[in-house]
Amino acid sequence: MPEDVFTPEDFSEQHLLIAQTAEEFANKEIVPNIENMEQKHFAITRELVNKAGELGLSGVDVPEQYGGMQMDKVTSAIIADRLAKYGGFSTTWGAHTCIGTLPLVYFGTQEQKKKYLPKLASGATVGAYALSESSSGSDALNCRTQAKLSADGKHYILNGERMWITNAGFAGLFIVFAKVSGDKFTAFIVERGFPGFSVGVEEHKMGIRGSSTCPLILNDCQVPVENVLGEIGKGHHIAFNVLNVGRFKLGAACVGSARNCIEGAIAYAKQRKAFGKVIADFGLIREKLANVAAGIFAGEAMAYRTVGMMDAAIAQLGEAHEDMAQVRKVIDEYAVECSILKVWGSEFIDYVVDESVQIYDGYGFVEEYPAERNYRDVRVNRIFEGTNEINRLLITGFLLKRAMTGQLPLMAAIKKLMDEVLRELPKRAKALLPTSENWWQRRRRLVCSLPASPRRNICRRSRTSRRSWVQLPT
Amino acid sequence: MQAIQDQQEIMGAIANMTIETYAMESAVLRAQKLAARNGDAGCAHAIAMTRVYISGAMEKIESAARTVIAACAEGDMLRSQLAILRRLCKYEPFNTVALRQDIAQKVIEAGKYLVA
Repeated sequence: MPEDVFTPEDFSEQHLLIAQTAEEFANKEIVPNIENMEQKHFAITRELVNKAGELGLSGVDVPEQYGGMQMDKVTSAIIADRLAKYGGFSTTWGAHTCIGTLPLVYFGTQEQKKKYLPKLASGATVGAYALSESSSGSDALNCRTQAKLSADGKHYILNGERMWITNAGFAGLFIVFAKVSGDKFTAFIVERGFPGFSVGVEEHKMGIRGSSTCPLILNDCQVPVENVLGEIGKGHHIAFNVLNVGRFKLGAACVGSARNCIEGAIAYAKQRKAFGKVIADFGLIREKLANVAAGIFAGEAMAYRTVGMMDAAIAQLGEAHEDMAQVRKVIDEYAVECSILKVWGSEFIDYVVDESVQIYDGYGFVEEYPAERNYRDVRVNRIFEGTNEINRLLITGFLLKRAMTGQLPLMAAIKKLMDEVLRELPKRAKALLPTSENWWQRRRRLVCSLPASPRRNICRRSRTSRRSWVQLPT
Repeated sequence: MQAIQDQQEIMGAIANMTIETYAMESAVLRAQKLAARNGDAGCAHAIAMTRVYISGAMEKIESAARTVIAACAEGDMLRSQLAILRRLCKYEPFNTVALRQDIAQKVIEAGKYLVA
């Protein structure tokens, strides 16, 4: 029912205030520094991460006792949405606050949280998440990086490499995955200064050039045993669960980015003239702007509906909402919605930047205008946080699994639908009679609209004819 | 017969339908909630955006459904499934040309995306 759905029109005073803070930060701090960040002046990027932390924008998902704000998921989505004015910074900030921080929030021991979370929440330390290898990405469980317990039992010795690690150039803390005893996929908290740990050279990327992306090299890297995150052999729980939050935030950020792109495109279309008119007067340009606006409306609706549902479910936990393991389980229940937001958002923003280049015409293809950079920056969204292909398989896989286990009454819904179709079809058959369609078509439609038994008779009788007849399931 | 989870194209097409259904339903619910608060006239722009969105989404859903049905059935079964699909996807289309003109007018005047 509409009244049960959370929408952007239901934002509280506090939500609006945070939206304003994030938007002002983006306009005053991020936008004026885009060119510098594009040139990989990471000191500026680093400074902005600190400033975002000081404003309380980075610790939204971190409990208060560990220096965070622990606010609702709607707030979390709002910040990702409003900060999305520059892909390079959004990627840095997203990797830091989400996949770089949340594994500790959800799976860390008290000691680990106390030691690391306050620095992450304030931005003093930047977090990173190291799951991919050169030969394993979405199939992360096939990783080759190995971890062996040292002879004195005090350290795990990690050997291997990790690829495409966002923030690697300046992050201080890495969540690294490796296999213990050859097959036990496990997460480790790795500090930048640990012996045997080094960062490779910066990648030259198509887009998000303002973010840092490097490989990690683990050469007999010594990780204290107390830095095992979660349980040995249960790394996959961590690897895949934190991605849910990453995905809904990415979806929200794509919607925010679309809002930003359309503003630029409208401003350009209102001043660029062709054939004596501004191009904003042309139907084919107006059609693009309208499609983008309609998409933003739908994108906002589903992003905030999803986080609204999560918040309602977390509120149901009562006092247990302080228990991060419980919160994580609640968020897991929305894995399908998170994947939907990720896939939909990343493909929608691809459409938006493409049409934006088109509206800017020749200027869209040169670096002078932001359309060119946006076009390159958003492409990665379909690749990271699980490729859209993997997410599509997850969406249908989850639904089928839930239908089979009875968690989702899919079969009952199909039966109800079939009953409705069969009940309504005879009416349609009557309506067909006065049409001028030819006899064959009319008869075919009539047959398929009849209840089962007369239809079977007709079908049997017509078996001798050249045409076969439509049979509806009984 | 091949198990469905081994047929990625089918899994992908069903995911596409699921995604668009969620998007469409979310937009409709939001517009309904707005209409309940402000009346239809008070949220004409939001209703127009919802109509444009669902028009495109229905086309995508129908196309994905045809792909799946054609891959899963043949002969009489294929035709009967398509007949059901036609029944389910039967609707009077909105005048999206006029709706898009109205939406564009509003966002161009405002210089940005807006809901009301």
